Amino acid sequence: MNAARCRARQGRRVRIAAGIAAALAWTLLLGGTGAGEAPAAWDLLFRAIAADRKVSYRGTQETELFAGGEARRSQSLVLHRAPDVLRIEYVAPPPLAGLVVQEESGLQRILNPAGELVRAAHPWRPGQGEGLQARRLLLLRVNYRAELQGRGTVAGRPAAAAALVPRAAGNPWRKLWVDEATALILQNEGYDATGRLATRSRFTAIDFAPRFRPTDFALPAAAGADPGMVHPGPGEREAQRLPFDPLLPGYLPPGYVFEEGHLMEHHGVPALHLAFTDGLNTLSLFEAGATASAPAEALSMHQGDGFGMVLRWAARGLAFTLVGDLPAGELRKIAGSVPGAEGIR
Amino acid sequence: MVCPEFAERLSAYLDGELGEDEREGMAAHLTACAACRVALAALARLGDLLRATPAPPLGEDLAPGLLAQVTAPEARLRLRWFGHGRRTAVAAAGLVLVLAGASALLLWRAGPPEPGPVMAGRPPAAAEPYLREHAVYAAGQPLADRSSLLLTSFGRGAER
Repeated sequence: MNAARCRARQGRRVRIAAGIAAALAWTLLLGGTGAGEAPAAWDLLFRAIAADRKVSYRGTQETELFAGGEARRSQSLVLHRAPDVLRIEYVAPPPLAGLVVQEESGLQRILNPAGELVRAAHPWRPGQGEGLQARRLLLLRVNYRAELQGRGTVAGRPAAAAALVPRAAGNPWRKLWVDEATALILQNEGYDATGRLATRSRFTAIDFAPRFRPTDFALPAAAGADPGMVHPGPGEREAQRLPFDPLLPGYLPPGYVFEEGHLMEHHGVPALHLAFTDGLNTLSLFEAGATASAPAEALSMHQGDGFGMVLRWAARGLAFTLVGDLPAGELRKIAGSVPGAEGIR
Repeated sequence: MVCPEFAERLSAYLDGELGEDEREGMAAHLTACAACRVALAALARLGDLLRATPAPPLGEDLAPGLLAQVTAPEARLRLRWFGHGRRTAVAAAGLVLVLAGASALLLWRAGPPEPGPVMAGRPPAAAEPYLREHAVYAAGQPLADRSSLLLTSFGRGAER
């Protein structure tokens, strides 16, 4: 057998193996993996994910954060022009009125109520977002069960409810109401690691045949804007280097994997954002050179306000910030597995 | 996440210190619980690493210093309660060393003291940019609740 035929056969074997792997992955995504699994629930959720880009709408949304026995409420106007222009403008309560988040073709800008640009993010890796999303969906399938939970009405529209229940006890989870006609998520409830309702966002009115005006997505000119947190654009990324060697955690909670890392700057100070995911929830580890604003104490932990848990510490000349909706013990274990932080328990 | 009702006994299970009923219960649980299996494997690995690390030598003057303390006149006076003479003093010194070693071992097994309680409320302002970055990143993921994530990250009125 000559070399060319050998290579052809090898190439075919690789393609067959890749095809089998892809088929298994697709089966895992859409098929049932255990007793009680509801393929219809996964179908509903995946349609909802796709609808996020397909459906244009204009609506008003109410958001509630539950913490310390209290609820904080806000209202916002939400406009989405398919596939990739989204604007969220907070209108209440007064301190937030005027806060605008606008995304257009991957470029995200956030303006505070004073109209100042506080964040500008360029597309990090055009085209790679889809690969990351596919990976997330696979993880979601592996780490969560989807359960249909009946029907209801949201914003006057019939909706089907589905819950994403973690296979590992003690993880946050989510319940979603999906519009039966468009598959858009009309109501989204987040439950924390203890099973307590932590957040709720729901449309109170929605129009799926919006007529957008050119001014609907206009942003005020942000003269002399210093966005604070910026991400290098594609042309600038290669010129940037971290001034320190990053340190990685040796431990992750069950189901979590490393997703991606990227550079950022805050007022000129370079930092590294490492993102981890279990398919539904995100865990972030930030590393920056220790400055005057670095935590002076060896360790501090904060919880509340709907953001889960924040753990901060300094070690080996770096300042670390760990953020995630996980129990305090888990965050400590993650932090303690970062070289130089072995004393954290 | 490790199951709370089994977490405290994982170490004892690894060391073969559980009674028969407890050991069987733990084994049955481990066959069903991946999180506890991962934790047990991590404990076992930690033990391997520590056993492979040479124990730091005691300071050269530690033992003689201890012996000097227990053989000092005041110590000899106290030791007379328990016995007589140099043999008793040496035995007492040995006991002190054993107790010191055991205490060190217990401290090592228990780990450093807890860093402190979780504080309710937002962290210092220096952490706000990272909270926002986390929230904005998480808000872009499938099925995320964008509005609440963005609200938590800008809950302080969106200072820059």
